[in-house]
Amino acid sequence: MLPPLVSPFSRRALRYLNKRFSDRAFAEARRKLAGEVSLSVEPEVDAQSFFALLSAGALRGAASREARAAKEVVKRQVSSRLWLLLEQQGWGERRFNPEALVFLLEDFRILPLSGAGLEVPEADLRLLTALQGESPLYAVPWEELLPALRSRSVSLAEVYLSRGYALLTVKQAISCYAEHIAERCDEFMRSCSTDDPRLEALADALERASLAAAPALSRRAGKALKEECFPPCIRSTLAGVESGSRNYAITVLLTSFLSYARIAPFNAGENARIADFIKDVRILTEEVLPVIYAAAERCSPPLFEDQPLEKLNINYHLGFGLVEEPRLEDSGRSPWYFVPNCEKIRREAPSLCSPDRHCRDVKNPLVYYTRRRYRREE
Amino acid sequence: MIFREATPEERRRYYREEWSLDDVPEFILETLQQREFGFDHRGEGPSDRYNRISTPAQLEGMLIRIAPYAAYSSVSFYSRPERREGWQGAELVFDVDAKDLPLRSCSCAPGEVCGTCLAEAKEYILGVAEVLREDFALEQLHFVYSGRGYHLRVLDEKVLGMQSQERASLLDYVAGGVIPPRELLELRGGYPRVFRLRLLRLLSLLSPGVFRGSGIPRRRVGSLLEPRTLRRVANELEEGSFTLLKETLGSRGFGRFLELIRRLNAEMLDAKVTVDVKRILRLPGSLHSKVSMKCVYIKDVERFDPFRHAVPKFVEERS
Repeated sequence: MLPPLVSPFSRRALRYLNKRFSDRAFAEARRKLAGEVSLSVEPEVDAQSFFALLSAGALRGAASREARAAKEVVKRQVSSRLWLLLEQQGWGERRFNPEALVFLLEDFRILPLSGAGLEVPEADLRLLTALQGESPLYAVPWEELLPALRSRSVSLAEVYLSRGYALLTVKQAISCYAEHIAERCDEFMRSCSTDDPRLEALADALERASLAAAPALSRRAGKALKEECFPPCIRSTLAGVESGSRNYAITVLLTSFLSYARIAPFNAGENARIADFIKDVRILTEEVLPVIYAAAERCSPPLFEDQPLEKLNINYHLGFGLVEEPRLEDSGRSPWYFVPNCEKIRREAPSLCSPDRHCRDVKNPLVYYTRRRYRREE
Repeated sequence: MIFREATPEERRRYYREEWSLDDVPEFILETLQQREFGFDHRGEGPSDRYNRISTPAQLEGMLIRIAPYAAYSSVSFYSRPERREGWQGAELVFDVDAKDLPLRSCSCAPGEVCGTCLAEAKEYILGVAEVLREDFALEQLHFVYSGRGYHLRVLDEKVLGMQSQERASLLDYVAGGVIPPRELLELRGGYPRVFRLRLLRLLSLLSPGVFRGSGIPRRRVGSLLEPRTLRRVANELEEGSFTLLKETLGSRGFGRFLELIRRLNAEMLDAKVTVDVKRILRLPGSLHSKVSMKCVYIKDVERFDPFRHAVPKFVEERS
């Protein structure tokens, strides 16, 4: 008997692509959406239910919340199936053969570590095993980690690299494979064009699932800025920045940080516009812009002295286009740039980043602020 | 004499009498039609962009005719380079500029370079190449002397399609731009080894001024900078141990020290060059007119000496 499908992009599953979705496929898609994982679904129904979910996700755009929800469902299904199958193969027991996972991961280059010919010091293997709770059993060419790097679910500094291979535990290998499948979901949804009317209802279900999963905070608006809750990089920027990092610090970092912190601190969402959150532009012109201008003045040399056009650029980064004065009716003429992640700030302006104890586990300055600003109130 | 700006006449002489198409590396000539070319005519930046050059002869004729202040070609490949459209991939580039090294053992003024800091830049880029070879198994590594530092251009197929995010992650790895998880610091291989190598390099360049604002007590800094302690710390680090360093700096001081090293590491390479997948880079063989030095494709990096191999004849003849 053939093993169950692991992913919708296995060669066996792709045989059922472009067929009309059956009612059973829709019923199975809803079960998957509800979190049920079964290894005994008929392959055709199983594959079609995956395609139905992804097609429903793509209905409202490949970057929509429905698309993200569909992708999450597929990722969870793939990971859960792999774990179930490995348990059947004796995972966690002495009899477990690492080849079992290699056999299951289609289109993913993975080798049992013992067969990769790497010379990893014994001491390193012992330390890795002790810290990760399991030994690294696999060697994967590092470029197979690219999807996981793009989704930030892994960083190269966290994996052990040797001669072009990353040493991975079962858990890490499954996680990297799931990211690999997630990217294929994105590709599928970008090119998918199915006009089955039943997909609308499934898309609605995906939307409900994604809203239910969103944190309650996402619907809370921002309150007056509290400088004592600002992260160190923002405090450094407010104190004025030397030539070299000025434009980045003021126009990109400070502008995005202060505007989001004041106006939409919680999950503003993609394509957000300032006008979606405030009805009075004075929140921006009286509470946010003066702080940005004052910091620009404190730069060395003062930013607007030699680059007066940066004022227009600030409005552009706020989403108003290249205008002299921001007006809510212009909101959306350019993108409202989101606050750069800590990693990016460290690269662009390393001197601004001097983490304090609250920076631990924070990947974006806005998260630092919301944690401190709103936790204080609660 | 050297590092003085080239005059328009010197530029013309350079391209007519000294420059040759052979100075342009094969990897550029082979992909000429897919690259965007940019020129800086007056020393104000490469404003003349979106140029497509079809043949080596056309490139030759153009450089001799316009004798630009600076010439650039993209690290990226396009199907329509004249519009910067149809992106097909980009070399992975690391750029170390001697004038921007955060710590130098010379006494150069900011913005200036000398033989010492140029040698330090070379040693550093060789260290980057070693990690790329050993940990990432990358093989197609090309070195270019940029005029004031070094470019390392990677052309392995597997890196060409990478986007900024992945390039940034790779940059952090080779530069030592993140602090390894504390529990893994003493691993002999993997990223902790790279971080230790970068730390060892900086160790000999540390001075009390570097610690200003780091939050490490002056007394602890003084103990660390005692030559005997520094030597012992270096020996231990080579063995993968941080014990003496931790003892000398104290637990809190040690954490702050790692953060200081991370920050210095992150400043060694110009991150913008690495993460930009549409960047133009100084064309090997062209003249860096601001400092009157040649941008040279390096065939034997160990033996390369900028003062022997990158000085144009007109500089030698300047009175």
